[in-house]
This record gives sequence, C-alpha cells and structure tokens, in this order.
Amino acid sequence: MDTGPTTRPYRCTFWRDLLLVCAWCVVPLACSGDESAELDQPAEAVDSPAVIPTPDLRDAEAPVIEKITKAREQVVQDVDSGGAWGRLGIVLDAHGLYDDALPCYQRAGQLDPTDHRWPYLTAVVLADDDPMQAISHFERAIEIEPRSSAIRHTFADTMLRGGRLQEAEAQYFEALKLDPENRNALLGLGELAVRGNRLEEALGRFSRALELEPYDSEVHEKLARLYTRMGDPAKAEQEAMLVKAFPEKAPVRDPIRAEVAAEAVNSTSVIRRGLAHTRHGRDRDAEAAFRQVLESQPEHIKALLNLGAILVRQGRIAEAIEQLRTALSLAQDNAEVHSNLGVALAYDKQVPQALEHIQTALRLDPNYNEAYYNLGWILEAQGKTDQAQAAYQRALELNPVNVRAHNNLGKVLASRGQLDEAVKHWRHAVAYSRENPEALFNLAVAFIQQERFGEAVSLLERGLQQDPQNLRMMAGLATLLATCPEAWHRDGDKAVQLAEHLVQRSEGKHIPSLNLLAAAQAEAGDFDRAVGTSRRALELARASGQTTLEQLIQSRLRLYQIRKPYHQEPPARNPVAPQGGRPLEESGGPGSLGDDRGIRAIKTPRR
Amino acid sequence: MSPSLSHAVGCCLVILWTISGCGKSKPPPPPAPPQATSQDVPWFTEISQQVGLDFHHESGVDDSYFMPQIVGSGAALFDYDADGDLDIYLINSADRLGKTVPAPINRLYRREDDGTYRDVTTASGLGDPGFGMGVAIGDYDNDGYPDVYLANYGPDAFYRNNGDGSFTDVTSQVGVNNNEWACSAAFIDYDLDGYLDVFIVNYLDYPEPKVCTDSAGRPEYCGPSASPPVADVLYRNNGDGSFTDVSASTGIGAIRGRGLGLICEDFNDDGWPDVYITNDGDANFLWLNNGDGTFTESATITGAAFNAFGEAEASMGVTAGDIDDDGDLDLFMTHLRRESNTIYRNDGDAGFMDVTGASGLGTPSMRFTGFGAAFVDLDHDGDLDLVVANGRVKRGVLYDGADPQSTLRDYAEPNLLFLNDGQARFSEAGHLAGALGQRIGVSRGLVVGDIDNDGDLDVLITNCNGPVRLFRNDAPKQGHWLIVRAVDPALRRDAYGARVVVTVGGRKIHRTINPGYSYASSCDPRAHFGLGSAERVEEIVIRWPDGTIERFAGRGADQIVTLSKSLKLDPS
Repeated sequence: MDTGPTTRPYRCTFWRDLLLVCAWCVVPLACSGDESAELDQPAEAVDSPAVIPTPDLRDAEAPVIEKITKAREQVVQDVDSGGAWGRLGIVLDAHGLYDDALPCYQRAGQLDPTDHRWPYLTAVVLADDDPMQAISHFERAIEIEPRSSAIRHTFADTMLRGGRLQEAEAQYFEALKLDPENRNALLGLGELAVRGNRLEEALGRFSRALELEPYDSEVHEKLARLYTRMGDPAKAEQEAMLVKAFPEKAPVRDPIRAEVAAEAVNSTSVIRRGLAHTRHGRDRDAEAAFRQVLESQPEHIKALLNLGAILVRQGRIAEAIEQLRTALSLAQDNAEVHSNLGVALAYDKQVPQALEHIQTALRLDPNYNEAYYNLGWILEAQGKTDQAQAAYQRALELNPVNVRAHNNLGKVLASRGQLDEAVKHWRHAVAYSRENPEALFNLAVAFIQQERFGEAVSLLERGLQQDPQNLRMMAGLATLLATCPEAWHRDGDKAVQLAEHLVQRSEGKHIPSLNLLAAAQAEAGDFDRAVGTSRRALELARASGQTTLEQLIQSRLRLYQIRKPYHQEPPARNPVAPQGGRPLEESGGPGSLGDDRGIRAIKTPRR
Repeated sequence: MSPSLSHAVGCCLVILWTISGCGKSKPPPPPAPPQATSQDVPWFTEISQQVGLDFHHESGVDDSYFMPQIVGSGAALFDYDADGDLDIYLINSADRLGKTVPAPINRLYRREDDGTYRDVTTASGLGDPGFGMGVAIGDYDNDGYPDVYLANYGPDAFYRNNGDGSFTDVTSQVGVNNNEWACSAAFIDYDLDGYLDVFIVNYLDYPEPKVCTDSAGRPEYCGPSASPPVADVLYRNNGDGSFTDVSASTGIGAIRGRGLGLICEDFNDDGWPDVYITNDGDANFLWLNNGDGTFTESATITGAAFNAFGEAEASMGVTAGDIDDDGDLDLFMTHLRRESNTIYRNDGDAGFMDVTGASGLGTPSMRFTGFGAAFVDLDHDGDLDLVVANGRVKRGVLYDGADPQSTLRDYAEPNLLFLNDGQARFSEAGHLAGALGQRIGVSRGLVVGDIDNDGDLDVLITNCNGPVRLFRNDAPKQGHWLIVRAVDPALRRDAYGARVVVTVGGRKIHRTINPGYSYASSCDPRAHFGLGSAERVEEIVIRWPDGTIERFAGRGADQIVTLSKSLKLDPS
C-alpha cells in the first residue's frame, strides 16, 4: 500500500496514521497489490485498497484543509458509502490532488457501481496521464449512462489524443446525436474532417460551432487554419485576429466536471470564479468571491485588485480606493494596482493623483496597454484630445484588439470630422468584443451619417438584442424605423412598439418620446392616433415653455393631419459627436438623427 | 466607454503548470516497455565520469521558490578550438543569496585526444558568472572560430572567440544589452547578408522572487501566468563587429510572449529563414520572414500556435525534422505533465497539422514535463528517432532512482527515447534507452552531437541542480551513415541555414545545418544521415543560405565529409 517514506517526504504522518487506523478498523483490506497495475483494469474489476488517501497538505490554504478534512471524515464515518468516497475524490480532484483522487473514485465505483460519475471521473483523471488506460473506464461509464453526450465527447477527445481516429469519430457522432448542440463534438468531427481533407465538411462543422459559441477562441483558431488550408488567407487572418480578441475557450458543457470544479476553494479558483461572475455582470457574486479570499488572506494582492475593480464598476469609489490603497501598500511596484487606483481616483475627481498613478504604472510596465488606455480616458475627459489620441493609439499598437481604445479613438476622430477613420475603429471595437453597445451605437450613428441606413438598422437591432433595456439604442432604432429617408428600412409597427415602450418608461411625460411615438404611428398608417399623440406632446411642450420643440411638433402635426407621415431628409455629412461612456444628455447625441432630441432627453442608465 | 480595470487571476494557474498530488500514489508507472530480449542492448551508456565530466549545475535552490532556480540551464557542443572534435560548454545558474562556494560559473570542457574532457574554463575566460539559462553558438565575425552568446536571467553576455583558446567578453563592445530574463538564443542570418544575427527568446518580466501556490494552496514555484510576458529581441549584425537592436523594425518586438525555446529554419521553403518560438502557456509564434527585413507572426493561421484541441500549451523545448520524408520540416515541442508533447506536420502551403495522436508521441509523454528534445537517427536505419529530456516544474511523486539527497528530488523524472518505425509512427522504447532512461533528474538541456566522431550521435543532458550526463550512443546499427559539414569558405564558417539533401537509392533525405534547437542549447552543427543499408550516397545537394544550389558527387558511406561552397557560384 504505502510506497514508503522515501517517496513521500512531505507527509503529515500523524493525520495519516490516525485516519488509516480508523479506516482499517472497518474496511477489510481487499488488496495489497500494485496500485499502478490495478489502474489498467475496468472499474468493476478493480479491488482498490480501502485506504483513505492522506494528501500532503502541509502549508495548504486553510479552506482547502477544512474541505478535504470534512470529506475524509465522511468516509471515515461511512466507509461503505460510494457517495462519500466519490465526494472525497471530487474534493481532492478539485484541488489538483489527482493521484489521491483516483483511488477514491475507484473505490466509489466499487461500492456504488450504478453511478456513472465514478468510472467517468476515474477515466478523466487517468486520461490526463495515459489516455489509453482510461478507455475501459469510459466504456463502463457509458454502459451505465449511455445518454450522456459529455461522456461521449470526452471519450472521443481521449481517443483523438491517442490517435484512434475512427473510434473518436464514432463517439463524436454519438455525442452529437445525444446533443446536437455539443460544441466539442462538432469541433472534433470538424477536426477529423480536416484530417481527411474533407474541408467543406469541416467548414460546416466549425461554422455550426461558431453559431453556438461565437466568442470561442478554439472555433476561431480552427477556422483560421482551415481557411489557410482552403487557400483563403484573408479569412484566415480575420479569424486569427478574433482568436486574439477572444482568447478564451468556451467552457465545456459537462455537468460532472463542473461539479468537480465547483468544489475548489483554493484562492486561485475562488478568484477565477469571481472573475467569471464579473464577466457575466454578477457584481455582487464577484465581490463576495473576492472578499471570501480576503477573509483568510487579507493581503492577497489579486483579491484586493479585483475587489477594487469591481467596486469601481459599481460606483463605490471610496471603498475601491481603500482596497486599492491597501493593495498598493503591499505591492508598490505592481503596475496593475497603480493603473486601477488611477482610475478610481479619476472617478473621485482627483485627477492629478490619478495621472500620477497611471504614469507610475507605465513606468513600471511601459508595454501596459490598458494603462495607456486609462491615460487616454483621463486626458480625453480633460479635453486634451491630442494627447488622448496618442495614448489610445499607443494602447492599440500594444494590443490591436483593445476594444475600449478602438471605441474612444473612434470618438476622438469623429469629433474631428475623420468619420471614415472613426468607422474603422468602431468596426474593430464591435468585431473584437462580445457586447459593446457603445461602439455599436456609435457605429450605427456613423452609418446614418454616411446614409448607410440598412447597416445602421442592423447594428441597432443587434445592440438591442445584447441589451434589451438600452433606451438610447431603442430610441435610435425607433427613429430610423419610423422616419428613415429610405422607405425599405421603415417599419411603422415595430417603431410603434419601441416608441410605446419609451413613452411608458417616462410615464407619458417625456415630450420627445411622445413626438417619436407620433411619427411611428403615422408611419404605421394610424394617423388619428398620431395626431392625438402629437397634440399631447404639443401641450406638454407649451406647458414647459419649450418653444423650439413646440414648433417642431407643430410642423409634424400638420403632416399627420393631412395623413402624411414624417420622413427625414438624407442627413448632411456632419461629424458625429462623441458618445462613449456618457449619457446622451451630456454628450449631445447623434447630431443628425431626425428625432435625436427625443433620444437625448431620455435618462440613459450608465452601464 | 469606461476605463479599463484589469482583473487578475491568482498566482498559480494550474492550467499551465499543473501539479500532481504529493505522496499517496506511486509515481506514474514508467512507460510500459515491451519485454526485453537478449538483443535489447541498451542504446545509451553514461560516460560522464569516465571522460572526466564533473560539472554539477547549481541554481541556489532555497525556500524562496525563485523561478529561475527551476528553469535552467542548457549546454553547447561545439568545436571552439577548431581541432575537429566537439568540446562541451555547460551553463550554470547562480546563487542569488551568494551562499554557494565557489560561486557557480559556466564551464568549458575541452575534448582531449584520448576522449576525455578537461576543464579549461579559466584559460578560456568563458567562466561567466551570470545567472545562466541558454547558449547560442555562432561565428559572428566570420573569423573561423565560433563565438558564444549567453541568454541569462539578467544581463546577457557575448563572448568572442579569440582563436587561441580564449574568449573575450565583448557584450558592451558589440552593443547587445538584453537585460530581460532570456532562456534561449540562436544565431540566424535573417537578412542573408552573410553575417549571423542573434535572436533572443525572453521569458517573463520577473524582477524578484514571489511564491505562488498550487491547487491545494501549498507554496510552489509560480507558473508563467503570474508574471507579465515580454518581447523577444533580434539583434542585426552590422558586419563591423557591432549589432543593432532591430526588434521594432522587424516586427519581432511588437508581440509579447513567455518564450522558452526557439528554432530558426525555413519553414515555408521560400529561401528565407523563419523563427518558431515556443511560449509557455501562450500561443506559440511562427515568425515568417518576409524577405524585406521584417517578419510576420503567422502561427495561428498556419496551425502551429495551438494544438488540435485549440489549447495554447506550455511549450518548452522545440526541434524540427523531416519526419515524413516530404522535404519540409516538421515541428516537435515538449510540454507540461498532463499535456502531451506535440508534433506539427508541415503540409507546405496548407500549413501545419497536429498529428500527435497518430504519431504515437502524445500518450507516453503525458506523465512528464518535457524540456530538451532532438530528432536523431540513432540506429542509422534512415529515419529520425527522438530523445526527450524531462523534469518537472511542480512537485510530484518521487521516482525510484531519483537522488534522495537532491533538493529538487520531487521534480525529477526519467528521460524518454522514441523509435520511428519508418512511417513517422513512434513508439516509446524505455527498454532500450539504457542509462538515458534510468538517470532520473530534473533534466533541461539536451544536446546531440558526434562527440567521438564515430558516425553516430551521442546525447548530453543537463540537469537543474544536478550533474551533467553524457550518454554515448551504443545502439546496434541498422545501416550506414554520413556526416556532412557544410562550410562557406568566403565566410569562413559553417553555413547555418543551408539545406543538405542526400540521395540514397533514389530516396532524398533532407537535413539542415543548424545547431540551435532543443532547449536553451546548441548542438553539433553538422548534418547527420542514417543511410540504412546503402553503402554509398548517389548525390549530395546543398541549398546554401543565399539560395544557390550546388551538387556534389556521390561517395561512400560511413565518413565525415566537409563540403565547401564553390566560390564561383552566383546567387542570381
């Protein structure tokens, strides 16, 4: 059983001995053979030693020790419980203690042969060391649970790693039958098609995977090299750029392995979980995760840094500054801390101090593109657009897929009348980000300026899909659908829906929204309603003394009364006012959108 | 648009530097060998002590988990005194606390006529005290004597060979000043002007020790993601004894990575040398030479950045060879435990294809963390076999045979030998590896060369905080051999970048003149050919670096030949 003290120099023998005694009291030692030889056998044939693993936890983090200890205690209390053994295996596996997890999974499989998780997890652990040893365990898991697509595709991956391509293909097909949206199966089959020089088939598989996971680095990487193989270097380059923009692989849809990952309580895993929350906008969960780490490790720089960032995002600037100052006191040469503190201070209107920290970050790491972006952001807010532009450009030199820098540089360029250049950057900002309503909106406005109304409509629709409550997007789209100079882009009914929503949001008191609704109703052919809505807007405008608006509404009302809808003239080619990061009422709005005033007055929530 | 708030992950990213649990289980079983037979003569015999190689690498391991202590170091086989045999230069690390007495320095061992090695460090002046990682060998001043570039943690060093057995530190004189943490370097004439330039692979921005934790929260060496990446550096040789940093103008400096290894070869067969960089946990780089003084990073579009599963692996060492006999160079690189080593087949214009699974090289490597590697026809059967040096970067179970007194014993692993069946299908051959597979250490550099000029290639492996080991090739030979040294007399040096094609029985065997591969090391610059049963070669064709092609007459096998470029050849 024991490989001897020389093989385990870090063992905590007291704990091991105590628990071994406990375990041996109740579990007959079934086997004294070579463990490694036993691993070759399928789960049901294995008679694993019933020795509870004693991982070396010297200097391990307290939550990890606690978690493993509890799981071990469960096994000690109920050594015949497959569930307890399996859970101990999961907890050990989650903390990278694979060699200790393995016998637990095997024991669990012996005690509870009906649970497919144990042979599957046995296989997964083995597959990372020796894929061929894992085969029989995969087969056992499939025998117990033939309907799991995840088990099939993991098995297929393993066969592919081992060069057994036909068997891999068969399993991928089964996985896809069970779950037609199994991305791994699609990618696996595509990969095999490439190997078989069936390039069109591969393209089909990868394209389907892309529909399912548009921001998956693996899909873009596979497409990049496929296009090279197909002799299309331009598309290959485009996909390669997207690999840079979306560097993460999509998570594998595997509930069993997700169960393992969820058990990890080491600080790195908790922080990673917090970051996942951050990416999905779950700020409270993210904050809780970072604070959880700080409870046991108050000087954990990464936790402080991330907590500071999430607090800034929530507008809790004073708290953020406090956390980041703590981080700074612990890591004075950390460029990220300086950069983030600079941002927090800028929000707190301590601009000179903010700039000082950003400059320090850049001194510490002259290639820190995010710090250049932050520098540009602060300078732009100060009206120093030349310097801001230089900072954004430097950020983009260092990282061509920095979407924030693209967006803000676009704004600066647009404000100078360089609309074509701005459009290039906004296009990049849209292409290289999962969701970027600001860039989408800015690009849509630019398209309107360029009389590319169809593209503008598409972008605004896409923006609303990403953020259905974005009122600025909603107003822009409603305006276009109601009043676009080009008839084929107008859709009165849809415009009415959107405008009604805007009116409801303002409880019917928002004059430009009413004006927009009237235009939409007219476009939909409901002139009676359009007249009524327009009159209501007119009354409110008179009551509030907004004479310019009153005149505008009157001119539209006259059209509706003679049963004519209002349509915009094609816009003049004016520069687009900057949009990014500010509510529309601050920024001035998209100058030539017909009903831009309606948009401007709506309180747009800061995202 | 809101400002950018960076989010950081914890120090130890287990994805990249995977740990194994300490303690409970036995070490992963050694590769399952076929049953040994009486004909299974060990292919390697260790002769380090026998020939007087007493070097012991020192990296000053303490409780600081200072990363450079676990990453070095490499070695070089080169004929520094131009006497026709290979001398050995061994890179040492350093003790950051200064406790090791005497302080570790690099060492040069001269091969004597009786086959032993003599430590000539002092006389040579090559006892560099820097925190050494890698070494590159090349004759930068075209004086006929190979010079030495040292990739260090901290300032690199450049030594000019004086031609009289001594070297002079010319680092500041030639104008190179790379102060990053460099791991590997290579000489490459990227602009084909006849002067060797220097490409340096930098690893991390890691100014001071920091302790990370493994997945259980135990102290451990950090993984690469805990530190920012850095840009690599290219120095152009001005031809007057000085160098200019052209990283920016060539495009090399535009992308940062966590580089460990490199190989410079003409991967797309356009006549211009390219550079492949192995990055630790980041996508690898393939810098394709545009022929106009610039490079374009093309690894993703050519399929050489990520493995078949779209994973950026923790790439360490790298080598290249024409394993499928189609005339182009395929790539092999080593990785962490729980990642397989990976082989990318070069499919010409279609790019590279990860064929690891089918090659048989993946599965046996998943238990190990590979560093140095080399393709070499060990038994002269005409195909390229493979040797791989292994050693962990995170603690794991202790192997039988590891030195229990070693401070890094929990990082030690066996090295691997793979045999090619002639169809680019490899099988692990631990039963034949002999001493090479039995000496368990934290192996890093692996260099191959014919140290005894007997026609087969021997292997030298360095060990982090351990002894260097020289393995003599004793493989039973399946055929004949030829070694070609390709020299450009106008440049008075080996023609780095030349492609040598030998025709045997109608088959063309492609090799290159290039010592810079494996990990942090420099190998025998001569091209080695296993010829199988052929007793003579029908023709030798060399494509010289300037693009000229020269044909040499056939000749008998089993000899070392030096082929010189004709001075009459016109590149046009």
